[in-house]
Amino acid sequence: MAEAAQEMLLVEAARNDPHAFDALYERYVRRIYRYALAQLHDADEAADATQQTFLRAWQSLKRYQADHSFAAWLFGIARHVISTMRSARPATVSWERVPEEAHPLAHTGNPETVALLHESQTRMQQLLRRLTPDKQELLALYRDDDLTVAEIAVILGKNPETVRKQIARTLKTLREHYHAANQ
Amino acid sequence: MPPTNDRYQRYAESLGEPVTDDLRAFVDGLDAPFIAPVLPDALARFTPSAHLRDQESRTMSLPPKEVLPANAPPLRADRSPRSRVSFGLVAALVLVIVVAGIFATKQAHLPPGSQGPQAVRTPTPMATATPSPTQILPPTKVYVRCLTISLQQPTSAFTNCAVVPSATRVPINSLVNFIYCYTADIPLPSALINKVTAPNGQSVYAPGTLQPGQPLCDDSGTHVDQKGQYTVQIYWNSGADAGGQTDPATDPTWQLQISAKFTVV
Repeated sequence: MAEAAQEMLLVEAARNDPHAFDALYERYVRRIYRYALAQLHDADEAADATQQTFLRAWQSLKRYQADHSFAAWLFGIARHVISTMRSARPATVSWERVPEEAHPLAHTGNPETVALLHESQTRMQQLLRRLTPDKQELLALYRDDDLTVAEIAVILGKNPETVRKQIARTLKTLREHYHAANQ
Repeated sequence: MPPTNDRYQRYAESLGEPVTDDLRAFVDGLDAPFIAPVLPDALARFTPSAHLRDQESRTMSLPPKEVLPANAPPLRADRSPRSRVSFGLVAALVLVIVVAGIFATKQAHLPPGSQGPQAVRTPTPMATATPSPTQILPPTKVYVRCLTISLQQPTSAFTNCAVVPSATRVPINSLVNFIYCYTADIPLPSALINKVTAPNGQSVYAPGTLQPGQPLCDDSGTHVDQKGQYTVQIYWNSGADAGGQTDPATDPTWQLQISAKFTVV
């Protein structure tokens, strides 16, 4: 609650002083970029989506109402931006477009371990790719540690309990397929 | 930054399972590519409009004066005439140079519209290759924030590229339009080059000079006559007149700001 109040102070400050928007930007830029990267699988596009998200947020900051968290509002903007970008390009995107530097495990450990992990991750990404776009989006939001299920529900315009069940169901399905693929 | 225990716990609760090595492996596979991606330079700071202009950000936008070579193009033409006056006393000369330098720097950073008459910017094909002076430049991907590929021709340069639907597949023999918009704190004057590389590897350049007071978007068109993937790249150079330069991909004074691809079918 204290954090929400603190964040509202940041929003109020940014409304009156554009420089104060920097604090909100610093707080969220990595989270929005991660979300965009998980959805778009392209570093350049994710960066572009992130910039557009913050630009729109900054332009419409005066319209933000504290009915929901700022995070939910910002991710909602990001969702719209990403959706627009996705609709403007071919439906299928190769997972190979995920930049190599986005695979932190590729730079650590001995080559054999790294190869195994990389193989495992590639398998997982292939399974993720088979999910429907709405389930992929659900997991992209769930990846953000700091987003609560309630906030994800606001972003998606769904009931929190429905979202909770969908997350559990999607993860379980994915886990079963992952086990099956590993055996 | 690897996933934290809290993170594993979050998944464990959703799945109704305890945290085990197996679950950790599952979460790692699911999330690792997106947990700690390197934040691109483009996102190093937020520069949305002229409202964010201040002395500090303007200073950050320019290369330090001391790294500019003697033959570097002036950042602003109307420097104080006092800087050209010769004085007998060394101390006085140093003082005047310092004052003139500060004055010229301030002139170079005035907001759009507050400087002299606007120059007309028309992208033209590149001519001869002349190396640019070597400079140490600020971080890349700061000034050009979007690039949109459109079949509309001609498209108004005043159009915000963020609101134009972008095309990724276009029919052969189309006229393709590239709209690119840049942030308000781009140092002015400075130069941009639009480089279009065809599937056969050949490139066409369209350089343009940005002057104060001009709109924050520009466009450039090309005719596509080869099937396959084209690449569009926008390079930036702080030089006031960088037209007719060498290949921006190999000239270090040019910095890649943004790129996009489209396919001709």
